[in-house]
Amino acid sequence: MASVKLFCARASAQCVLRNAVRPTYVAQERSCYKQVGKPEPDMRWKPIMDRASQTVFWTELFSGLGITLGHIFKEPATINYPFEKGPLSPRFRGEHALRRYPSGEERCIACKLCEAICPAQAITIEAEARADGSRRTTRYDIDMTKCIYCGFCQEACPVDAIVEGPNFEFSTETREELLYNKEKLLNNGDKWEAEIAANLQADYLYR
Amino acid sequence: MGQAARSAHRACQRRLWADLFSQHVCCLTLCNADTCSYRALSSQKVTKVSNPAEYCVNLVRTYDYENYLCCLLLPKHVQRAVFAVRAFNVEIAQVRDVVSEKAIGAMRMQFWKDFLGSLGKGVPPQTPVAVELSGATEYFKLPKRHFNNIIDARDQQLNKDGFSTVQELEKYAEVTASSLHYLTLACLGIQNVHADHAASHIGKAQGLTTVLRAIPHHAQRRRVYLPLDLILKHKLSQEDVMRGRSDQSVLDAVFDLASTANTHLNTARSFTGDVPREAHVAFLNALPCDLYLQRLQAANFNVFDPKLQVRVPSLPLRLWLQKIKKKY
Repeated sequence: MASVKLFCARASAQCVLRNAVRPTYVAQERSCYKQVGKPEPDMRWKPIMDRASQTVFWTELFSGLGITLGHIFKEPATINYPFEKGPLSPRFRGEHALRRYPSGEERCIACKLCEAICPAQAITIEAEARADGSRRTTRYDIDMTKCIYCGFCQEACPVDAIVEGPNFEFSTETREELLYNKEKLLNNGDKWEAEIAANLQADYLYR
Repeated sequence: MGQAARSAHRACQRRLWADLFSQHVCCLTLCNADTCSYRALSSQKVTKVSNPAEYCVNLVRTYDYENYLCCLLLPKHVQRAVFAVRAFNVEIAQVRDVVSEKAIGAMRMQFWKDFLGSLGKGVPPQTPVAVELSGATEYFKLPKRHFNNIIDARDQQLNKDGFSTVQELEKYAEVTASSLHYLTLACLGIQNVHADHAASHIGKAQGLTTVLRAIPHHAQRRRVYLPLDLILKHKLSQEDVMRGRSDQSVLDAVFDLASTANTHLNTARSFTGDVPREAHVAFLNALPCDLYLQRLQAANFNVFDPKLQVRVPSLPLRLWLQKIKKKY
Protein backbone atom coordinates (compact mmCIF):
# COMPACT_ATOMS: atom_id res chain seq x y z
CA MET A 1 0.00 0.00 0.00
CA ALA A 2 2.86 2.31 0.88
CA SER A 3 4.39 1.82 -2.55
CA VAL A 4 1.13 2.73 -4.28
CA LYS A 5 0.98 5.89 -2.28
CA LEU A 6 4.54 6.76 -3.20
CA PHE A 7 3.76 6.24 -6.90
CA CYS A 8 0.71 8.46 -6.68
CA ALA A 9 2.69 11.19 -5.00
CA ARG A 10 5.34 11.08 -7.72
CA ALA A 11 2.71 11.20 -10.48
CA SER A 12 1.05 14.25 -8.99
CA ALA A 13 4.42 15.94 -8.53
CA GLN A 14 5.19 15.41 -12.22
CA CYS A 15 1.82 16.87 -13.14
CA VAL A 16 2.50 19.95 -11.11
CA LEU A 17 5.95 20.38 -12.61
CA ARG A 18 4.63 20.03 -16.16
CA ASN A 19 1.99 22.67 -15.54
CA ALA A 20 4.62 24.95 -14.09
CA VAL A 21 6.87 24.88 -17.19
CA ARG A 22 4.02 24.96 -19.71
CA PRO A 23 4.17 28.75 -20.23
CA THR A 24 7.79 28.42 -21.43
CA TYR A 25 6.92 25.86 -24.21
CA VAL A 26 7.70 27.01 -27.75
CA ALA A 27 5.25 25.50 -30.25
CA GLN A 28 6.54 24.42 -33.67
CA GLU A 29 5.11 26.56 -36.44
CA ARG A 30 3.61 24.63 -39.37
CA SER A 31 3.01 26.60 -42.52
CA CYS A 32 3.55 24.22 -45.44
CA TYR A 33 0.42 22.08 -45.74
CA LYS A 34 -0.31 19.64 -48.56
CA GLN A 35 -3.81 18.61 -49.53
CA VAL A 36 -4.05 14.83 -49.67
CA GLY A 37 -7.82 14.43 -50.15
CA LYS A 38 -9.77 14.87 -53.36
CA PRO A 39 -9.74 18.57 -54.34
CA GLU A 40 -13.02 20.40 -54.57
CA PRO A 41 -14.18 20.52 -58.21
CA ASP A 42 -13.76 23.93 -59.79
CA MET A 43 -17.29 25.17 -60.40
CA ARG A 44 -16.53 27.88 -62.99
CA TRP A 45 -18.06 27.40 -66.43
CA LYS A 46 -14.91 26.50 -68.40
CA PRO A 47 -13.75 23.61 -66.14
CA ILE A 48 -17.33 22.32 -66.01
CA MET A 49 -17.42 22.26 -69.83
CA ASP A 50 -14.05 20.48 -69.95
CA ARG A 51 -15.22 17.75 -67.62
CA ALA A 52 -18.47 17.33 -69.49
CA SER A 53 -16.70 17.01 -72.85
CA GLN A 54 -14.29 14.39 -71.41
CA THR A 55 -17.27 12.30 -70.40
CA VAL A 56 -19.19 12.81 -73.67
CA PHE A 57 -16.25 12.05 -76.01
CA TRP A 58 -14.89 9.04 -73.94
CA THR A 59 -11.40 10.59 -73.88
CA GLU A 60 -10.19 8.44 -70.94
CA LEU A 61 -11.58 5.31 -72.54
CA PHE A 62 -9.64 5.96 -75.75
CA SER A 63 -6.38 6.81 -73.99
CA GLY A 64 -6.71 3.52 -72.05
CA LEU A 65 -7.28 1.65 -75.30
CA GLY A 66 -4.20 3.39 -76.71
CA ILE A 67 -2.06 1.94 -73.91
CA THR A 68 -3.51 -1.52 -74.58
CA LEU A 69 -2.69 -1.13 -78.28
CA GLY A 70 0.87 -0.05 -77.42
CA HIS A 71 1.39 -3.25 -75.39
CA ILE A 72 0.50 -5.38 -78.43
CA PHE A 73 3.66 -4.10 -80.14
CA LYS A 74 5.84 -4.44 -77.02
CA GLU A 75 7.96 -7.48 -76.18
CA PRO A 76 5.90 -9.69 -73.85
CA ALA A 77 6.98 -9.75 -70.22
CA THR A 78 6.23 -13.47 -69.92
CA ILE A 79 7.84 -16.50 -71.56
CA ASN A 80 6.14 -19.55 -73.00
CA TYR A 81 7.63 -21.71 -70.24
CA PRO A 82 7.96 -25.35 -71.17
CA PHE A 83 9.11 -24.32 -74.66
CA GLU A 84 11.11 -21.25 -73.68
CA LYS A 85 13.35 -21.07 -70.62
CA GLY A 86 14.60 -18.12 -68.64
CA PRO A 87 18.31 -17.32 -68.40
CA LEU A 88 20.38 -19.55 -66.10
CA SER A 89 23.69 -18.72 -64.43
CA PRO A 90 26.64 -20.85 -65.55
CA ARG A 91 27.13 -21.62 -61.87
CA PHE A 92 23.58 -22.95 -61.46
CA ARG A 93 23.54 -26.18 -59.50
CA GLY A 94 20.87 -28.50 -60.80
CA GLU A 95 20.59 -32.21 -61.47
CA HIS A 96 23.76 -34.25 -61.06
CA ALA A 97 25.63 -35.86 -63.92
CA LEU A 98 28.71 -38.03 -64.29
CA ARG A 99 30.86 -36.88 -67.18
CA ARG A 100 32.94 -38.89 -69.62
CA TYR A 101 36.14 -38.05 -71.44
CA PRO A 102 35.73 -37.34 -75.17
CA SER A 103 37.09 -40.86 -75.74
CA GLY A 104 33.98 -42.27 -74.07
CA GLU A 105 35.77 -43.47 -70.94
CA GLU A 106 34.11 -42.37 -67.72
CA ARG A 107 36.00 -39.74 -65.76
CA CYS A 108 35.28 -41.01 -62.27
CA ILE A 109 38.28 -42.77 -60.74
CA ALA A 110 36.57 -43.74 -57.49
CA CYS A 111 38.63 -41.49 -55.22
CA LYS A 112 35.54 -41.06 -53.00
CA LEU A 113 36.25 -37.41 -52.22
CA CYS A 114 32.66 -36.48 -53.13
CA GLU A 115 31.33 -39.16 -50.79
CA ALA A 116 33.53 -37.82 -48.00
CA ILE A 117 32.61 -34.14 -48.44
CA CYS A 118 28.84 -34.61 -48.97
CA PRO A 119 27.22 -32.93 -45.93
CA ALA A 120 23.91 -34.75 -46.48
CA GLN A 121 25.62 -38.12 -47.01
CA ALA A 122 23.62 -38.58 -50.18
CA ILE A 123 26.39 -40.28 -52.17
CA THR A 124 27.27 -43.95 -51.93
CA ILE A 125 30.25 -45.37 -53.81
CA GLU A 126 31.61 -48.87 -54.14
CA ALA A 127 34.75 -49.41 -56.15
CA GLU A 128 37.03 -52.15 -57.35
CA ALA A 129 40.07 -52.46 -59.59
CA ARG A 130 39.50 -53.47 -63.18
CA ALA A 131 41.49 -56.09 -65.08
CA ASP A 132 43.80 -53.38 -66.50
CA GLY A 133 44.65 -52.15 -63.00
CA SER A 134 42.56 -48.95 -63.05
CA ARG A 135 40.18 -48.25 -60.19
CA ARG A 136 36.57 -47.65 -61.18
CA THR A 137 33.26 -47.46 -59.39
CA THR A 138 30.94 -50.43 -59.49
CA ARG A 139 28.23 -48.49 -57.74
CA TYR A 140 27.66 -44.74 -57.67
CA ASP A 141 24.34 -43.78 -56.11
CA ILE A 142 23.00 -40.36 -55.25
CA ASP A 143 19.87 -40.02 -53.19
CA MET A 144 18.37 -36.90 -54.76
CA THR A 145 15.87 -36.62 -51.92
CA LYS A 146 18.72 -36.21 -49.43
CA CYS A 147 20.85 -33.92 -51.61
CA ILE A 148 20.92 -30.27 -50.56
CA TYR A 149 22.51 -29.04 -53.83
CA CYS A 150 25.46 -27.38 -52.11
CA GLY A 151 27.82 -28.23 -54.98
CA PHE A 152 30.58 -29.53 -52.69
CA CYS A 153 30.80 -32.80 -54.64
CA GLN A 154 31.67 -30.99 -57.86
CA GLU A 155 34.14 -28.76 -56.03
CA ALA A 156 35.86 -31.73 -54.42
CA CYS A 157 36.13 -33.83 -57.60
CA PRO A 158 39.76 -33.66 -58.80
CA VAL A 159 38.86 -34.89 -62.30
CA ASP A 160 35.62 -32.90 -62.84
CA ALA A 161 33.63 -36.14 -63.07
CA ILE A 162 30.60 -35.37 -60.89
CA VAL A 163 28.99 -32.06 -61.76
CA GLU A 164 25.72 -30.35 -60.99
CA GLY A 165 24.38 -29.63 -64.44
CA PRO A 166 21.97 -26.94 -65.61
CA ASN A 167 18.90 -29.21 -65.59
CA PHE A 168 16.25 -28.29 -63.03
CA GLU A 169 13.33 -30.24 -64.47
CA PHE A 170 13.68 -33.72 -63.08
CA SER A 171 10.55 -34.13 -61.02
CA THR A 172 9.26 -37.68 -60.81
CA GLU A 173 6.05 -39.38 -59.84
CA THR A 174 7.59 -41.70 -57.26
CA ARG A 175 10.30 -41.30 -54.67
CA GLU A 176 12.21 -44.34 -55.92
CA GLU A 177 12.91 -42.63 -59.23
CA LEU A 178 14.91 -39.98 -57.35
CA LEU A 179 17.42 -42.55 -56.09
CA TYR A 180 19.88 -42.16 -58.96
CA ASN A 181 22.31 -44.90 -59.88
CA LYS A 182 25.49 -44.75 -61.94
CA GLU A 183 23.76 -45.52 -65.23
CA LYS A 184 21.27 -42.71 -64.80
CA LEU A 185 24.05 -40.26 -63.84
CA LEU A 186 26.19 -41.22 -66.83
CA ASN A 187 23.17 -40.82 -69.11
CA ASN A 188 22.64 -37.35 -67.66
CA GLY A 189 26.27 -36.58 -68.41
CA ASP A 190 25.90 -37.66 -72.03
CA LYS A 191 22.72 -35.62 -72.40
CA TRP A 192 24.07 -32.39 -70.89
CA GLU A 193 27.78 -32.61 -71.81
CA ALA A 194 27.74 -29.61 -74.19
CA GLU A 195 26.17 -27.28 -71.63
CA ILE A 196 28.32 -28.56 -68.76
CA ALA A 197 31.56 -28.16 -70.74
CA ALA A 198 30.58 -24.62 -71.77
CA ASN A 199 29.81 -23.69 -68.16
CA LEU A 200 33.18 -24.87 -66.89
CA GLN A 201 35.19 -22.61 -69.22
CA ALA A 202 37.60 -19.97 -67.93
CA ASP A 203 39.88 -17.94 -70.15
CA TYR A 204 43.13 -17.27 -68.33
CA LEU A 205 45.15 -18.84 -65.56
CA TYR A 206 44.95 -16.47 -62.62
CA ARG A 207 47.54 -18.03 -60.35
CA MET B 1 68.45 -45.66 -72.56
CA GLY B 2 70.23 -46.62 -75.74
CA GLN B 3 70.26 -44.97 -79.16
CA ALA B 4 67.94 -47.65 -80.56
CA ALA B 5 65.48 -47.10 -77.77
CA ARG B 6 65.47 -43.37 -78.40
CA SER B 7 64.83 -43.76 -82.11
CA ALA B 8 62.06 -46.27 -81.33
CA HIS B 9 60.53 -43.76 -78.99
CA ARG B 10 60.77 -41.01 -81.64
CA ALA B 11 59.01 -43.25 -84.14
CA CYS B 12 56.34 -43.97 -81.59
CA GLN B 13 55.85 -40.30 -80.85
CA ARG B 14 55.72 -39.39 -84.52
CA ARG B 15 52.97 -41.94 -84.93
CA LEU B 16 51.17 -40.48 -81.92
CA TRP B 17 51.28 -36.97 -83.23
CA ALA B 18 50.12 -38.23 -86.61
CA ASP B 19 47.27 -39.90 -84.75
CA LEU B 20 46.31 -36.61 -83.22
CA PHE B 21 45.72 -35.15 -86.59
CA SER B 22 44.11 -38.19 -88.17
CA GLN B 23 40.84 -39.29 -86.69
CA HIS B 24 42.21 -42.11 -84.57
CA VAL B 25 41.93 -42.67 -80.89
CA CYS B 26 44.78 -44.29 -79.09
CA CYS B 27 44.05 -45.55 -75.67
CA LEU B 28 47.45 -45.07 -74.15
CA THR B 29 48.65 -46.74 -71.05
CA LEU B 30 51.96 -46.89 -69.44
CA CYS B 31 54.03 -49.98 -70.02
CA ASN B 32 57.28 -50.96 -68.46
CA ALA B 33 58.93 -52.15 -71.64
CA ASP B 34 62.33 -50.46 -71.75
CA THR B 35 62.12 -49.74 -75.47
CA CYS B 36 59.49 -47.08 -75.17
CA SER B 37 57.55 -45.64 -72.29
CA TYR B 38 54.49 -44.86 -74.35
CA ARG B 39 52.76 -47.55 -76.34
CA ALA B 40 49.51 -47.48 -78.18
CA LEU B 41 47.49 -50.41 -76.89
CA SER B 42 44.40 -50.26 -78.98
CA SER B 43 43.11 -47.91 -81.55
CA GLN B 44 39.60 -47.48 -82.79
CA LYS B 45 37.88 -45.13 -85.16
CA VAL B 46 35.47 -42.69 -83.54
CA THR B 47 34.15 -39.31 -84.57
CA LYS B 48 35.90 -37.30 -81.87
CA VAL B 49 39.67 -37.37 -81.50
CA SER B 50 40.77 -37.98 -77.99
CA ASN B 51 43.60 -39.53 -76.09
CA PRO B 52 45.24 -38.44 -72.86
CA ALA B 53 47.95 -36.48 -74.70
CA GLU B 54 45.45 -34.53 -76.70
CA TYR B 55 43.30 -33.99 -73.64
CA CYS B 56 46.28 -32.29 -71.95
CA VAL B 57 46.90 -30.14 -75.04
CA ASN B 58 43.26 -29.04 -75.05
CA LEU B 59 43.35 -28.30 -71.35
CA VAL B 60 46.38 -26.04 -71.75
CA ARG B 61 44.89 -24.40 -74.84
CA THR B 62 41.66 -23.58 -73.01
CA TYR B 63 43.05 -22.39 -69.72
CA ASP B 64 46.59 -21.22 -70.46
CA TYR B 65 46.61 -20.02 -74.06
CA GLU B 66 49.94 -18.18 -74.00
CA ASN B 67 51.85 -21.14 -72.65
CA TYR B 68 50.06 -23.33 -75.17
CA LEU B 69 51.56 -21.22 -77.96
CA CYS B 70 55.00 -21.38 -76.33
CA CYS B 71 54.76 -25.17 -75.95
CA LEU B 72 53.91 -25.53 -79.65
CA LEU B 73 57.26 -23.90 -80.49
CA LEU B 74 59.25 -26.40 -78.42
CA PRO B 75 61.06 -29.25 -80.17
CA LYS B 76 58.62 -32.02 -81.11
CA HIS B 77 60.10 -34.70 -78.88
CA VAL B 78 59.54 -32.76 -75.65
CA GLN B 79 56.18 -31.20 -76.52
CA ARG B 80 54.10 -34.01 -75.17
CA ALA B 81 55.90 -34.10 -71.84
CA VAL B 82 55.82 -30.31 -71.44
CA PHE B 83 52.11 -30.25 -72.22
CA ALA B 84 51.63 -32.87 -69.50
CA VAL B 85 53.53 -30.69 -67.02
CA ARG B 86 51.57 -27.58 -68.03
CA ALA B 87 48.27 -29.47 -67.79
CA PHE B 88 49.23 -30.53 -64.27
CA ASN B 89 49.91 -26.87 -63.48
CA VAL B 90 46.48 -25.89 -64.85
CA GLU B 91 44.82 -28.49 -62.63
CA ILE B 92 46.63 -27.33 -59.51
CA ALA B 93 46.35 -23.61 -60.22
CA GLN B 94 42.59 -23.79 -60.64
CA VAL B 95 41.91 -25.38 -57.28
CA ARG B 96 41.58 -22.09 -55.36
CA ASP B 97 39.12 -20.63 -57.84
CA VAL B 98 37.01 -23.77 -58.08
CA VAL B 99 36.41 -24.40 -54.40
CA SER B 100 34.38 -22.35 -51.94
CA GLU B 101 35.83 -23.95 -48.79
CA LYS B 102 39.51 -24.35 -48.01
CA ALA B 103 38.94 -27.89 -46.74
CA ILE B 104 37.68 -28.97 -50.16
CA GLY B 105 40.73 -27.39 -51.81
CA ALA B 106 42.96 -29.24 -49.37
CA MET B 107 41.25 -32.49 -50.36
CA ARG B 108 41.95 -31.87 -54.04
CA MET B 109 45.55 -31.00 -53.26
CA GLN B 110 45.84 -34.19 -51.24
CA PHE B 111 44.65 -36.19 -54.25
CA TRP B 112 47.48 -34.79 -56.36
CA LYS B 113 49.98 -35.22 -53.51
CA ASP B 114 48.98 -38.88 -53.23
CA PHE B 115 49.39 -39.21 -56.97
CA LEU B 116 52.90 -37.74 -56.79
CA GLY B 117 53.70 -40.05 -53.90
CA SER B 118 52.70 -43.08 -55.93
CA LEU B 119 54.49 -41.84 -59.08
CA GLY B 120 56.48 -44.67 -60.58
CA LYS B 121 54.79 -47.26 -58.37
CA GLY B 122 51.94 -49.19 -59.93
CA VAL B 123 49.20 -47.88 -62.17
CA PRO B 124 48.51 -44.12 -61.95
CA PRO B 125 44.90 -42.96 -61.48
CA GLN B 126 43.27 -43.22 -64.89
CA THR B 127 42.87 -39.52 -65.49
CA PRO B 128 44.63 -38.14 -68.58
CA VAL B 129 46.81 -35.63 -66.73
CA ALA B 130 48.04 -38.26 -64.26
CA VAL B 131 48.66 -40.82 -67.02
CA GLU B 132 50.57 -38.35 -69.18
CA LEU B 133 52.54 -36.96 -66.27
CA SER B 134 53.65 -40.36 -65.03
CA GLY B 135 54.64 -41.28 -68.59
CA ALA B 136 56.66 -38.08 -68.98
CA THR B 137 58.28 -38.40 -65.54
CA GLU B 138 59.33 -41.95 -66.28
CA TYR B 139 60.67 -41.24 -69.76
CA PHE B 140 62.55 -38.01 -69.09
CA LYS B 141 63.43 -38.91 -65.47
CA LEU B 142 61.99 -35.59 -64.30
CA PRO B 143 62.92 -34.72 -60.71
CA LYS B 144 59.88 -35.22 -58.50
CA ARG B 145 60.87 -32.49 -56.06
CA HIS B 146 59.75 -29.76 -58.48
CA PHE B 147 56.22 -31.14 -58.59
CA ASN B 148 56.22 -31.48 -54.81
CA ASN B 149 57.46 -27.90 -54.45
CA ILE B 150 54.72 -26.56 -56.73
CA ILE B 151 51.99 -28.40 -54.91
CA ASP B 152 53.32 -27.49 -51.44
CA ALA B 153 53.56 -23.78 -52.33
CA ARG B 154 50.05 -23.73 -53.77
CA ASP B 155 48.69 -25.67 -50.81
CA GLN B 156 50.21 -23.17 -48.37
CA GLN B 157 48.82 -20.30 -50.42
CA LEU B 158 45.40 -21.96 -50.33
CA ASN B 159 45.46 -21.76 -46.53
CA LYS B 160 47.02 -18.34 -46.28
CA ASP B 161 45.30 -16.51 -49.15
CA GLY B 162 47.67 -13.57 -49.54
CA PHE B 163 51.30 -12.47 -49.32
CA SER B 164 52.85 -10.47 -46.48
CA THR B 165 55.93 -9.23 -48.34
CA VAL B 166 57.13 -8.82 -51.91
CA GLN B 167 59.90 -11.32 -51.11
CA GLU B 168 57.30 -13.90 -50.12
CA LEU B 169 55.47 -13.32 -53.39
CA GLU B 170 58.75 -13.67 -55.29
CA LYS B 171 59.47 -16.93 -53.52
CA TYR B 172 56.00 -18.22 -54.36
CA ALA B 173 56.47 -17.13 -57.97
CA GLU B 174 59.82 -18.83 -58.15
CA VAL B 175 58.42 -22.10 -56.82
CA THR B 176 55.29 -22.12 -58.97
CA ALA B 177 56.53 -20.62 -62.25
CA SER B 178 60.28 -21.32 -62.26
CA SER B 179 59.76 -24.97 -61.37
CA LEU B 180 57.88 -25.34 -64.66
CA HIS B 181 60.91 -23.86 -66.45
CA TYR B 182 63.26 -26.24 -64.61
CA LEU B 183 61.05 -29.13 -65.70
CA THR B 184 61.06 -27.91 -69.32
CA LEU B 185 64.85 -27.67 -69.17
CA ALA B 186 64.99 -31.17 -67.72
CA CYS B 187 62.87 -32.43 -70.64
CA LEU B 188 65.24 -30.70 -73.07
CA GLY B 189 68.14 -32.39 -71.27
CA ILE B 190 69.88 -29.11 -70.42
CA GLN B 191 71.84 -28.93 -67.20
CA ASN B 192 73.37 -25.50 -67.03
CA VAL B 193 73.68 -23.18 -64.07
CA HIS B 194 73.07 -20.07 -66.21
CA ALA B 195 69.94 -21.57 -67.72
CA ASP B 196 68.66 -22.34 -64.22
CA HIS B 197 69.52 -18.82 -63.11
CA ALA B 198 67.61 -17.34 -66.04
CA ALA B 199 64.68 -19.69 -65.32
CA SER B 200 64.59 -18.48 -61.73
CA HIS B 201 64.39 -14.79 -62.72
CA ILE B 202 61.93 -15.33 -65.56
CA GLY B 203 59.72 -17.36 -63.24
CA LYS B 204 59.72 -14.56 -60.69
CA ALA B 205 58.83 -12.00 -63.36
CA GLN B 206 56.02 -14.25 -64.56
CA GLY B 207 54.65 -14.81 -61.08
CA LEU B 208 54.59 -11.07 -60.35
CA THR B 209 52.97 -10.34 -63.72
CA THR B 210 50.32 -12.97 -63.08
CA VAL B 211 49.43 -11.32 -59.77
CA LEU B 212 49.13 -7.93 -61.53
CA ARG B 213 47.11 -9.36 -64.37
CA ALA B 214 44.70 -11.14 -62.10
CA ILE B 215 43.93 -8.07 -59.94
CA PRO B 216 40.60 -7.31 -61.71
CA HIS B 217 39.61 -11.00 -61.61
CA HIS B 218 40.36 -11.32 -57.91
CA ALA B 219 38.83 -7.92 -57.14
CA GLN B 220 35.51 -9.22 -58.47
CA ARG B 221 35.75 -12.05 -55.95
CA ARG B 222 36.78 -9.59 -53.21
CA ARG B 223 40.33 -10.85 -52.83
CA VAL B 224 43.54 -8.86 -53.02
CA TYR B 225 46.86 -10.57 -53.63
CA LEU B 226 49.05 -7.47 -53.57
CA PRO B 227 51.72 -8.01 -50.89
CA LEU B 228 50.80 -6.41 -47.56
CA ASP B 229 54.06 -4.46 -47.22
CA LEU B 230 53.35 -2.77 -50.55
CA ILE B 231 49.84 -1.92 -49.37
CA LEU B 232 51.21 -0.42 -46.17
CA LYS B 233 53.97 1.46 -47.97
CA HIS B 234 51.55 3.22 -50.31
CA LYS B 235 48.81 3.50 -47.64
CA LEU B 236 46.20 2.11 -49.98
CA SER B 237 43.09 0.38 -48.75
CA GLN B 238 42.20 -3.07 -50.05
CA GLU B 239 38.68 -1.81 -50.55
CA ASP B 240 39.95 0.59 -53.25
CA VAL B 241 41.46 -2.32 -55.15
CA MET B 242 38.31 -4.40 -54.75
CA ARG B 243 36.15 -1.58 -56.08
CA GLY B 244 38.43 -1.14 -59.07
CA ARG B 245 39.37 2.45 -58.24
CA SER B 246 42.55 3.59 -59.89
CA ASP B 247 43.74 6.08 -57.28
CA GLN B 248 47.32 7.27 -57.28
CA SER B 249 48.18 4.92 -54.39
CA VAL B 250 46.92 1.89 -56.38
CA LEU B 251 48.86 3.01 -59.45
CA ASP B 252 52.00 3.43 -57.32
CA ALA B 253 51.72 -0.04 -55.82
CA VAL B 254 51.15 -1.55 -59.27
CA PHE B 255 54.10 0.43 -60.60
CA ASP B 256 56.33 -0.91 -57.81
CA LEU B 257 55.39 -4.51 -58.50
CA ALA B 258 55.65 -4.08 -62.28
CA SER B 259 59.10 -2.56 -62.01
CA THR B 260 60.24 -5.43 -59.78
CA ALA B 261 59.01 -7.85 -62.46
CA ASN B 262 60.76 -5.83 -65.13
CA THR B 263 64.01 -5.87 -63.14
CA HIS B 264 63.84 -9.67 -62.99
CA LEU B 265 63.28 -9.85 -66.75
CA ASN B 266 66.23 -7.55 -67.42
CA THR B 267 68.44 -9.53 -65.04
CA ALA B 268 67.53 -12.72 -66.88
CA ARG B 269 68.31 -11.06 -70.20
CA SER B 270 71.63 -9.65 -69.00
CA PHE B 271 73.32 -13.04 -69.27
CA THR B 272 71.65 -14.24 -72.47
CA GLY B 273 75.11 -15.02 -73.89
CA ASP B 274 75.94 -17.51 -71.14
CA VAL B 275 72.71 -19.50 -71.53
CA PRO B 276 73.08 -22.34 -74.06
CA ARG B 277 71.29 -21.56 -77.32
CA GLU B 278 69.07 -24.62 -77.24
CA ALA B 279 67.74 -23.51 -73.82
CA HIS B 280 66.35 -20.25 -75.20
CA VAL B 281 63.26 -21.93 -76.55
CA ALA B 282 62.28 -22.93 -73.00
CA PHE B 283 62.06 -19.25 -72.03
CA LEU B 284 59.73 -18.13 -74.82
CA ASN B 285 56.98 -17.36 -72.33
CA ALA B 286 59.01 -14.43 -71.05
CA LEU B 287 57.67 -12.60 -74.12
CA PRO B 288 53.94 -12.55 -73.18
CA CYS B 289 55.02 -11.41 -69.73
CA ASP B 290 57.16 -8.63 -71.21
CA LEU B 291 54.35 -7.61 -73.59
CA TYR B 292 51.93 -7.33 -70.70
CA LEU B 293 54.34 -5.11 -68.77
CA GLN B 294 54.78 -2.88 -71.82
CA ARG B 295 51.03 -2.60 -72.30
CA LEU B 296 50.62 -1.88 -68.60
CA GLN B 297 53.10 0.98 -68.96
CA ALA B 298 51.19 2.26 -72.00
CA ALA B 299 47.99 2.14 -69.93
CA ASN B 300 49.74 4.26 -67.28
CA PHE B 301 49.82 1.34 -64.77
CA ASN B 302 46.06 1.19 -64.52
CA VAL B 303 45.49 -2.57 -64.19
CA PHE B 304 41.75 -2.12 -64.59
CA ASP B 305 42.11 -0.84 -68.14
CA PRO B 306 39.90 -3.16 -70.25
CA LYS B 307 42.47 -3.05 -73.07
CA LEU B 308 44.83 -5.09 -70.90
CA GLN B 309 42.38 -7.99 -70.71
CA VAL B 310 42.27 -8.76 -74.44
CA ARG B 311 44.61 -11.14 -76.23
CA VAL B 312 47.42 -9.78 -78.36
CA PRO B 313 46.55 -10.97 -81.88
CA SER B 314 50.15 -10.84 -83.08
CA LEU B 315 51.42 -12.99 -80.20
CA PRO B 316 51.89 -16.26 -82.18
CA LEU B 317 53.91 -14.45 -84.86
CA ARG B 318 56.04 -12.60 -82.33
CA LEU B 319 56.74 -15.79 -80.39
CA TRP B 320 57.82 -17.47 -83.63
CA LEU B 321 60.12 -14.55 -84.49
CA GLN B 322 61.56 -14.74 -80.98
CA LYS B 323 62.28 -18.42 -81.53
CA ILE B 324 63.97 -17.71 -84.89
CA LYS B 325 66.07 -14.93 -83.32
CA LYS B 326 67.01 -17.32 -80.48
CA LYS B 327 66.31 -14.73 -77.82
CA TYR B 328 64.12 -14.58 -74.75
